[in-house]
Amino acid sequence: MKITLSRRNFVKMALSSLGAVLLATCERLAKPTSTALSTSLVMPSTTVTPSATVTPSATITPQPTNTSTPEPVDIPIYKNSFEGITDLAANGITSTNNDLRINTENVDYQSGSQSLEVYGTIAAPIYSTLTIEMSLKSLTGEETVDLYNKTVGFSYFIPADSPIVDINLIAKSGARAVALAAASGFTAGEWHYQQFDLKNIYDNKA
Amino acid sequence: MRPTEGVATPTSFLIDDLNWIGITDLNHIALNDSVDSIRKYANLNHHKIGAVLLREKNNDWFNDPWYLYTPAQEFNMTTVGGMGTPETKPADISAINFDYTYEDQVMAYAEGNGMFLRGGTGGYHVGNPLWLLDASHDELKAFLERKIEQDISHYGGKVYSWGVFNEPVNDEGNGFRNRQQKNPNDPNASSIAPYSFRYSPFVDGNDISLIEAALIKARQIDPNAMLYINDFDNEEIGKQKSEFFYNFLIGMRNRGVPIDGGGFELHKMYPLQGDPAPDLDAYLDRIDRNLKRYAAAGLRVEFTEVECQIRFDDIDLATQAGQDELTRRVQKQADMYAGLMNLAVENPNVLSFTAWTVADKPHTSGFDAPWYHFTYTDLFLFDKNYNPKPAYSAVLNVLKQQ
Repeated sequence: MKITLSRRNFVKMALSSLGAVLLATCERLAKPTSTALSTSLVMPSTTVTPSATVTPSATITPQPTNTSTPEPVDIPIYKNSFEGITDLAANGITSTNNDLRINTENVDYQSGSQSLEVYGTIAAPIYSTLTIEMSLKSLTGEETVDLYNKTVGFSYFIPADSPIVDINLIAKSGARAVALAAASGFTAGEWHYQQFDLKNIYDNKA
Repeated sequence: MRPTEGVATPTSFLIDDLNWIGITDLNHIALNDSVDSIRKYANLNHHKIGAVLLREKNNDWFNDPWYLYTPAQEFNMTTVGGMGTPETKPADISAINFDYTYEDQVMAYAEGNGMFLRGGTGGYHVGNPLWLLDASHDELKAFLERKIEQDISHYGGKVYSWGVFNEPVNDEGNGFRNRQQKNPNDPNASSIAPYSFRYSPFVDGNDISLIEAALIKARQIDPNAMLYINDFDNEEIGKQKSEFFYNFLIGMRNRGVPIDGGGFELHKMYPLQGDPAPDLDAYLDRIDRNLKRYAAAGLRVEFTEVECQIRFDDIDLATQAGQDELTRRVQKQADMYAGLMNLAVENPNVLSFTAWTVADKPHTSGFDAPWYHFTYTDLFLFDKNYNPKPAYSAVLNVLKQQ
């Protein structure tokens, strides 16, 4: 499906038609360009994570079986602190280029007893990434979710002396990807919590 | 030191608390009645339970939708107060126009979401412009009358109770903050209390006639609203400040001054302060006996600024022993919240329970404890990501068992 829309509509369509959110850290060793990511793939699962909180007011829309983009479902609120998860892949949390694990030792204070860790080696020619891919289908039970008017937040921790300089939130479907937000300038070795008002970001081209 | 280009480097990152929220109109939030909430049981049992919506220069939480979503979903009350006084002295004090910009946002939020409103008006000993601190008796009287008239009229019967004066009793509990205590050189003097925290322009020695006049004016403007004096460390029977505060209210009432009760702020911490630190059960028992004394005297009480800050600076969270102690303190925090909520619902003369605010954020405490600037803050029912804490579950259980 070819989409040629205004910026606002593009964002909405792009977000609503994407199958996963992805978190990636980027090492920026050369001068940055407009693209801060290398590769990332999506491995959606059909299992809904038990710790996800989805407001019951969300409308469950039957999904079409053809290839057209389904109407996005608005899930007004969503929270996932990765509690109680033992099988990441079964919960739609994967990584194509790194290893993942549940970390019970480094958890943001008052954020339960588990955090989600991705680890690996940054090859570092110019750009390289560590990625976590999370299937929206697995997280929310919906094929498409409208993230356009959402404020998205997450906590993150970059180890001290890490070469990581960015952490990006990306919506992705197949080969298509939209960068939703990026955090940088953080103090390594500490937990941070950051929110991104996506509507404001895209409406104002921030 | 970051590696140079081409050097392969092992590293990692961690994430937690992934969330989103997208509610178009935060003044008319579609509440989720299908899940348990404090609000659900407060409404069911006719209690008023809420949180103050703080707004600070460096923490404009009104930009955080979770900050507004959470109290609407969980509470049925919030508070307006502290309406802005002009920084420069007006030509006619009796014609001052106060700034209601922020408070009107709170009122629209409360009204739209079907929440009760408490209010604060009258005199404060902190946060006043200098001209008011140095004003004469007649100027202060004109100010109080104008402020009370404007505040109560502005909110036109939408506020069910007013704290007409805030924290008039000194910290020692043996007198009032008053004009005789003016000391710009006090080491604790600050921008919000340039003449020290012992100073209030509204009381001269033991002359509380301006407080009494304020209460009389408030009753004239809204005969239906409850009128309170608000203070801290006044909840435990037998404590000097509690006794002074109680006798202060009783004395006014016996002189025919319209006063319906007292506000217990309840800015507390765990471990409880004192040497030796008091036992929690004994502390709650002293509050219970004080509440029953108020009831016997025909006075009501509201819990107005509840918090329980856990002390961190004396435990090492890097050790198992430190983690165990933290777990114990978190449970004690839950016990304290539950104990206070139990007192509120079991004593019919307690009309409301308000937390100082919604969630744990930096610089949210109502007091300046030695560990206030420690990395962590842990005071309220929700954590900094608006997830319910053990204290929340404990409070909810108290309400569900009613």
